[in-house]
Amino acid sequence: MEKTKLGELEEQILLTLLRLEGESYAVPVANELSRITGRDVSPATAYMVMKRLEENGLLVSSVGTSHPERGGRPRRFYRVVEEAAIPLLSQSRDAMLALWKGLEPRLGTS
Amino acid sequence: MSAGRDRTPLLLRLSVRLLPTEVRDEVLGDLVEHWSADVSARPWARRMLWLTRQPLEVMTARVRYGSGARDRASPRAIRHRGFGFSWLDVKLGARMMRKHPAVSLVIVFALALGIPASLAPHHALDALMDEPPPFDEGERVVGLLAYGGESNRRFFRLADYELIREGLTTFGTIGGALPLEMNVISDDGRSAGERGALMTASSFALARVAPMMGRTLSPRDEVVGAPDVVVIGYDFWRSRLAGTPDVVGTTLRVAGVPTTVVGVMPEDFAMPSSEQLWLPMRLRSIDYDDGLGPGLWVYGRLADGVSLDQAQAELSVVETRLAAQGRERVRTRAVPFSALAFGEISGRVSVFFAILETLPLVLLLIACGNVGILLLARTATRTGEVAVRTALGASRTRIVGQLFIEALLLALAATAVGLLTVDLILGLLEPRVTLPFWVDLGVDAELVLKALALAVVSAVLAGVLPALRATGSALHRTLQSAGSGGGMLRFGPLVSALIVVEVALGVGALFAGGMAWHIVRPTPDEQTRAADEDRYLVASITVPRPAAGGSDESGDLAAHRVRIAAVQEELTRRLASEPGIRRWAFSDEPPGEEVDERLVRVDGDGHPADYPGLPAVATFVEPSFFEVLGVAPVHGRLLGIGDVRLDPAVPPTAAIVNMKFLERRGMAPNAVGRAFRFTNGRDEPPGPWIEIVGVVPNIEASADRVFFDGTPVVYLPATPGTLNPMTLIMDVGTDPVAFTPRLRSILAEADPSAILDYAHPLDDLPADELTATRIAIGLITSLSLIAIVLSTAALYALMSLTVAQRTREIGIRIALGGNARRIVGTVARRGLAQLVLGVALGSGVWVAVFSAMLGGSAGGEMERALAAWPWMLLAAVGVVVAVGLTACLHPTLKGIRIRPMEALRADG
Repeated sequence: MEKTKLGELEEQILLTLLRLEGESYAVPVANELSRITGRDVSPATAYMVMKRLEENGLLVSSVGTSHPERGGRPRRFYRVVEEAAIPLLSQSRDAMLALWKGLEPRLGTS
Repeated sequence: MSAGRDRTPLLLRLSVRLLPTEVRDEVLGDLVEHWSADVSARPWARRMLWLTRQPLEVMTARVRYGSGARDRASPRAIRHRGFGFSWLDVKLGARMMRKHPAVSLVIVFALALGIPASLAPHHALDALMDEPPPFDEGERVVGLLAYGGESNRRFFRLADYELIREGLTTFGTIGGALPLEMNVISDDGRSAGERGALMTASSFALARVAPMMGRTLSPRDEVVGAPDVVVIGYDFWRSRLAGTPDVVGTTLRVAGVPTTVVGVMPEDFAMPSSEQLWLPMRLRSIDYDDGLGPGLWVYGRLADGVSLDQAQAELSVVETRLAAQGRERVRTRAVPFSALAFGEISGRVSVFFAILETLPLVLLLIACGNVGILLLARTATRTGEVAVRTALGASRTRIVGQLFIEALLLALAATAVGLLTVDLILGLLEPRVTLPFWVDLGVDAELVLKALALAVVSAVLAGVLPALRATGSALHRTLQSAGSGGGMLRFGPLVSALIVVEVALGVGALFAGGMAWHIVRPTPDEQTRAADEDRYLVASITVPRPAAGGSDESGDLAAHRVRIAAVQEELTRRLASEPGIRRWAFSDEPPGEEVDERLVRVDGDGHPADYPGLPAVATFVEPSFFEVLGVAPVHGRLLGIGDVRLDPAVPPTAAIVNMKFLERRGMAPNAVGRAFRFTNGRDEPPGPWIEIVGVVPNIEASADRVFFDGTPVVYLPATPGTLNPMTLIMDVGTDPVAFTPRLRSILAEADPSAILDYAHPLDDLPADELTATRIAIGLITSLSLIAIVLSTAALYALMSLTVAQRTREIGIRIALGGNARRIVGTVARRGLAQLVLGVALGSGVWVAVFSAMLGGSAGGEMERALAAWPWMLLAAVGVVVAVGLTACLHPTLKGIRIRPMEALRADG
């Protein structure tokens, strides 16, 4: 199914993944997102969002090796499909900027 | 071999169950990694907060971001799904929980106690009794028990084992072990007690577990005079020997003897129960005074194609063979291996376990009943909402479904809380009790699934039934009266009957709980003297008999006695010069732990000549035994040196008895001068008469072991050299445990070959008996308290609601100038009538039961303990009446204080 709009968390996770060199898994994504935005995101939420983004063709995934600190369970790494994701992210950014345009002086933001 | 317990927090494992199967493992991995790296180091409260948030996070993630989530949650989909449940129901349920926090808390509390409590006993019994050892075809390794006899034992004696080990054709291999605590000095000079066993080489073969290093014991090691060797366990190797790779061939001093390590067993092997050192079994029954030797753990691997029943049939033949050898008559049983550790469940024990398993289920039913009433009460306040939804086209199943989801949410929350509590309690208990190595009492998937199933059943019982009631014909009446402002569900005769039954149950639960507590609580009385357990150290010491060389068995025995007496003397000499040791004495068993029960007949008891008498425990003590424990005679005198026989063949002529001995036989406290004898049953000639020279109080190891069913005991003077194993009771002033290492050294100096079987404070847990008693008391007290809380909460809720429903009526009557006192009387009358009926029903049943039960008997301790029933019943009735009156009057009085218009508006 082709995705035409991004949800807020989807957008934030895509951007976080891009900040993490375009490929990572749920735990660092959740941590990085929490660190930057202050938004407390569970790894389970990050995982499920990335899974849905994968179903929408914006990410691709691969399974890593098992790790003892995960009780021997494997990691699933997600990579951004830039040709699909960047236009959507840009569209979202443009929409946001358009909405902000002219409001900055009134709202006291720069 | 069983793997170690999965340390993944249970709640995380449960949380991912909410997700599709294909992603569970990966999400769990992410959660575990995050937990280990970032959360587990946080303070306890924050860890718990994070953990308890995860199910919600996972559920939210699935609903919001799972495949097709939006489609599923769309209002259209909800409308078209008839009975189906939706995320909306979950949200409504969660909202209801927040809206009525007190009711939700009571319900969660009730079910959190009820659901795990009803599963935990069965789960624990399954793990303890039915789990086979983790050997290859472990279920074919069975235990052999020999019950009965004069000593009321359950283990095969060494002599019996020698007789059967070769002759049983239904077993491929037979083995035996004698668990002991062994004093071990390693190369670094450290000395400590270790759990070990003298074990037959065949035990390793039948377990089919290969050593991790070196070899296991072999039949050659069992030959008297062979080099002293030991096989060690993995835990011992890692903890005491730092996992040294070249351990095989090194030497340890075990019980003072240099012993070569010949092998290391793998992790999770601790046969027969939780041992870590195995010495070859070189014991011979002929080396023991009684010719029978100690009781052994005897077990065997069934031969191919042989069933347990066939093995049992062959064992019955063994009984006859043992009897033919002049042995005491015993009942032999082939049982699951675990029964060696815990005993077989049969006879009265099975009744006890059946009660233990059933009682919590009954409690759960009561909990469900009460929760049902609370939900019904809550539902009653929402009839307006239900009516509006019905009027807007919601089907009955749809509304019932929503109410079911609300109940289910409460039940699931309760299950999670309950399981976490069980896991926490087990975690706290685990290091304190010694369980057989294959037993894992932890919360496992099976328990979780059963708890979830029970949560669904509870939700059906407690949620659906009130929902059906609220949406049935009562709803139509509510709809009809809605126009006149009477929008509240009216409780009919069924609910009235329910209140009466609830009041009766409340009386019953309070009374039964109170009686149970009254019976099991420690009840010190004037005849019982509890020792001050903080001062005493109890040790059991065995002086092994050296390998006999000559044919003069009686000479060997006499020499061994001399040696035992010498060890006793040497210990006495060394303890006398030990600072802080005030007094000590030797006996064959510790006070309060006596088990050697025999039949005793008192002279002039008026019974026929062949009357076998009543049981009493016989124990042999040094004359100073009573002085050490600070016990003075109630009548007569204590034992003196003159009562001690130096020749073991000459029976004692003087004895002391305790008050329980006289009480059981209906004898006057001053029985000094009377005589008794051991009758040994009807088939054997009785022993000689022994004079009672003194009467002492009932001696118990500590105050909390003093129960109504104390033990009748006769104390006989011990002949020097006959106590083996000997119990040493020492008054060490303070901190008995601290003296244990010193005692090991003293014993090693007195006789390096002597074995310290155990040493512990007088009131410690050698046989887990005290733990079991305390757990039983705690369990019964907790169950009683739960019953009380549940009954009173539900009673209050329902009665106050029935009165509260009449607020509108009160408002109208006040507006019309009604007299407040009369209004209170009229409104509360119905509730009071229900209260009186319920109390009459509840107490009437118990009066009838107890009158019939205690009508004809008077003497027993149980009857005396139960004699307090009228007072207990009165107290139960008092509590229920107080709660009932408050429940009836409080809302009514509150009702007449509010202004009429407010009452009418609120109800309309």
